Amino acid sequence: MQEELAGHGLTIIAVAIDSDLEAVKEWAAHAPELTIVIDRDFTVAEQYGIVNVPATVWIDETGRIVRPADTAMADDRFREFAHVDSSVHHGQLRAWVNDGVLDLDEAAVADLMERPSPELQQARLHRRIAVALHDRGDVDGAREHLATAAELAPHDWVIRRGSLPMNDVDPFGAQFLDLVGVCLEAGSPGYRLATGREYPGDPKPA
Amino acid sequence: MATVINDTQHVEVQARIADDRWLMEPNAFEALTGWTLKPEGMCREDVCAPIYRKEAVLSPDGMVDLVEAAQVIGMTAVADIARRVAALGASAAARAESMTTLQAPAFTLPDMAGKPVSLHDFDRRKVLLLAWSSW
Repeated sequence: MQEELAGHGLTIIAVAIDSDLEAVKEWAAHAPELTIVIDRDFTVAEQYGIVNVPATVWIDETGRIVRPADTAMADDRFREFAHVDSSVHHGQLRAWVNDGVLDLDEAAVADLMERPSPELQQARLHRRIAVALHDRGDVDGAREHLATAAELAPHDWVIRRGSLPMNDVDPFGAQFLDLVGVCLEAGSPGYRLATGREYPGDPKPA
Repeated sequence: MATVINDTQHVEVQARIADDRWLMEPNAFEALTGWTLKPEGMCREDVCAPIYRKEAVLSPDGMVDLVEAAQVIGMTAVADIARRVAALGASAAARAESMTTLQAPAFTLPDMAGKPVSLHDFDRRKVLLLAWSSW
């Protein structure tokens, strides 16, 4: 995608919302063509209202957000699980980059930005402290702050999923699946825009 | 010394821990936040935010309470007093306001080689931020 659209003026910045530098390096090795940066304190996630991954935000040539954070899959590897058709986002992206076509006006984009609650902002700060303590080797201290963050923002995917590795929990194991259930039940499906979202039971394209 | 984690870096600051409060000299608070303690309140450039709850925000000897003062200047702070680490970020209201402008927030983050990369490096190009993670 980067290769195809770079000539048409698109730069992709892959922001790893991740505190584990080694894990990021391992994944990054698979995409040497991309500009990859690491957001250990989740500050960019906070500034752009990114509440789950993978997600994309579109920024135009004048530095304005023209499409808010939304789930976007690179391919259909996780389609059975996430029920997202990656081609929908890809089609919209090509239309924007090649022809300047946007399907949301400014008011719609502003409305869809994920504004935080005071509790979520506090949870994010507790998480920053947890990362710093974990770096110092204070694992118990880190877990205390992660626990407080989870209490403050029980349905925020980035806070909850993003804390599994520091709690020594398999990020794709049983606790992750429990968490998915809790978030979905609470009406926090990850993003409001839900581009390409299929709902289980929808007819699958042939 | 104590550490404050703000949106861009870890800052070592002088802090006095007393009665479960994280207290800083006004000039240290100013160096950290850009806000100056004046008789009319907390001030930056030509804006002053009045301090309504003086006893909460200031100690009897004129030190600034980080967590309380952060609220005065539109920020949020969380302090781990015992471990001498605090985090200072935008308030929910300030974040929401910034989102309403649709102006893409500037950021600088290290790449895999540790080299800083800024959004501004790509001015006048379309940019796709792709948020991902190993988890």
